[in-house]
Amino acid sequence: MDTQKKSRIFLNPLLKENPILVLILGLCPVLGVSETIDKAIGMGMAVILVLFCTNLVISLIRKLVPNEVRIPIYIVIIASFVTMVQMLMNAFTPELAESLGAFIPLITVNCIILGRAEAFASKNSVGDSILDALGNGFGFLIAVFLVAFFREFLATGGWKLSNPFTNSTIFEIRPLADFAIPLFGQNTGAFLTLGIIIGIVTAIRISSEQRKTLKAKKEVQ
Amino acid sequence: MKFSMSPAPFLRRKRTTLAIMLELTIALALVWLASIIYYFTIGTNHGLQAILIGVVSTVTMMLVEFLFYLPKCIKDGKEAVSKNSELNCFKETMKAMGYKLSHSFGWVSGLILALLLPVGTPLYVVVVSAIIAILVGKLLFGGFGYNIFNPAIVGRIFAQLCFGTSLAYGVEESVSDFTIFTGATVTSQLSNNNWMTTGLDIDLWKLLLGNYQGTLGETFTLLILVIGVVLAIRKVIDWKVPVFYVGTLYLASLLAGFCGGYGLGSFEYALIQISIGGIMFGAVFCLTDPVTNPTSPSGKVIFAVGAALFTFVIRYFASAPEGVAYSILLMNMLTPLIDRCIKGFTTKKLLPKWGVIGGIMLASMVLGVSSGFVNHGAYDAEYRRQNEFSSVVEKVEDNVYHVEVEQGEKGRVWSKIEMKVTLDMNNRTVTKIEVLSYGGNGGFGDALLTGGEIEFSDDFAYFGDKNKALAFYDKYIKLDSPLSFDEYLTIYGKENSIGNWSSEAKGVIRVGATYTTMGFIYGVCEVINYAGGAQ
Repeated sequence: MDTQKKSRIFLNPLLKENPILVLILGLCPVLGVSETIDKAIGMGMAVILVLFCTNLVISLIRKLVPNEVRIPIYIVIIASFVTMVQMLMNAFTPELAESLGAFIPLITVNCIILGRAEAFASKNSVGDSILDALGNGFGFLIAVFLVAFFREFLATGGWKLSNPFTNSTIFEIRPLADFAIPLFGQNTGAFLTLGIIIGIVTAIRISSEQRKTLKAKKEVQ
Repeated sequence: MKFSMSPAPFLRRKRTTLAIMLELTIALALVWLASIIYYFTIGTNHGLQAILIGVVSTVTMMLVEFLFYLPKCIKDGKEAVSKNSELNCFKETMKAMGYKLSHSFGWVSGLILALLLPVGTPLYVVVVSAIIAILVGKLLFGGFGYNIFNPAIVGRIFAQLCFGTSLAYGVEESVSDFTIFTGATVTSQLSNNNWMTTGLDIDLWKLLLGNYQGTLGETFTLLILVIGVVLAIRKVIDWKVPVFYVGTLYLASLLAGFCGGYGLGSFEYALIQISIGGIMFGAVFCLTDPVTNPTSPSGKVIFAVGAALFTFVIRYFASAPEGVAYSILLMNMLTPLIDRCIKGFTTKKLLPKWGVIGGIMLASMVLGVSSGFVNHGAYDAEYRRQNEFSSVVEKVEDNVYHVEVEQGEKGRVWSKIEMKVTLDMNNRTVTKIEVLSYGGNGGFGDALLTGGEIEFSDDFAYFGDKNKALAFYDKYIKLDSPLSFDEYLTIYGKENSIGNWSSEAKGVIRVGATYTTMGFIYGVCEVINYAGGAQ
């Protein structure tokens, strides 16, 4: 029972309660950095790192924090870790940090991170909080990667993946470069792609829920 | 009592939506047919392309609808079978699909989209635009009757935003053999000319008969007009929308013409302005889409007048030469607002209704007046820039002169021509013109420089008179036989500005690269004057 609950904490945010695709939280970075899969993965990893550290620390100090000033305290903690991540990225992955630009400092005000701190880490044990952070972080990564996957393909006709530490290209395929639709590299394309993906995910979710209720009804009968 | 709500259009007549849409389809097919025939007269490949664009656009839209409705139709088919086990599942599915497709009218949007694209559009662009048009423009909103925007216009604007360069390239490519004219549409030419028709060779009849460059369907104004009248009489479309739309634009253009200094010619000027580009096509086929129109008659008038205002603003004051598509989308967006404002207005409240309509029309008129003044001023400045020449003549040896012609205002040289002119003072003739350098790029000027033949493709017939251009070149610059001074001086008119040249003279030299040829004639005349050949 306990392991089942723990696995649910980790697995639920991946797809079933995905922060982006289902809860529609923190869309700003998804729209902003989903131009290429490179940027999407870099941003996803940064968010996972920040979320992991903040959830861990906030869960550790949850009994010390007075309820009245909890939000400023969380923000200070989040901002410290974001600054650290930004400095690390500037040091080790300068090109990636440059291409992500303002979106790294903006992780501070990302709804997912503050939301998890407020809704989960401040009330649960350290182990659960870490699992929750990983689940939500990878949920974010999956969503932003999904959007970037389609956007980069439509906008440039293929994909390019590079190693952020050495900035060398791992692989690059552009089979449909002649038929690229540049609009998908811009904001309009981001909204269109994200909207369609959210729509499809919602349709799948609703139909699966309906199937489940039907099954439950049959079992009752 | 229970009211049931069915999707727009709300019909009060006995004819079904399907019958009306079929009539509209026939009308669209006629326009398409006309454009196919027209493009076949230009070249077989253009004609085939015109056919292909229409077919690809329509088929893509129908296919997307088919796939979109497939799951639901299969479900319907299965349900029908579960009720009556004798039925064939596949047959029932197809039956449901047939009903869905024939009541979704994807082919109408497909044809309109095809007619809104230029003939040089690559086919994959057509496919992508059609998919976006039908999927984002219609199906995602809930299908026919629920869409906010006109699907075809959504597709057209998507194509413009995404493939604007390849669209323009496509147009130019289809006429790339041009040596003199570029593939600019009349609208973009006019836009570059500050919306003034002076100095451009625009023939009203050519515009009405569609003998100019534009998208597939928008050019044949006269046919669209006739079809529009027939459709309005048959009550397929509401006459108020096109009449008020085109009427407002005509009045505003008329005022712009008066304020631009055309006098009585403003009537023709305004006619030209409403005949070019997509105004007529948009008015008859796109604005009148019953789904995206307000329901009440006065709402329709507000809709049409507002669209005219937006078109006017975008055309004359924004950088985009075509404002029709954007204005239609903008007004589509405002349709629910108009409906809500008009709702409940009875005959007692005529004042606010007509106040809105009058206000918008007044705004259009004011814009017309101001655009007349603004564009006239801008045009004048531009005109001076292009039409002022200066020259330096030097005597090289007896009867041989070296001349440098600079075109443009002082300090802002547009183009520069250098040539050697040999005169025969006894017979008062020019015997030889040798072009040393030419500041233009390619085409006409290159042929002059190298002394080679100007190669005209058959496509030249599209815009100008090929024989006239060749004759001009042979006579005045290549000099088949020595030409008398008077021939040049008549054109030149002894004035230092081409604006003062007689219209007859302008007619002679208007063969394409107008300003370049003017520069040559000017240079020769300066030499004649310098040598004392002018009396």
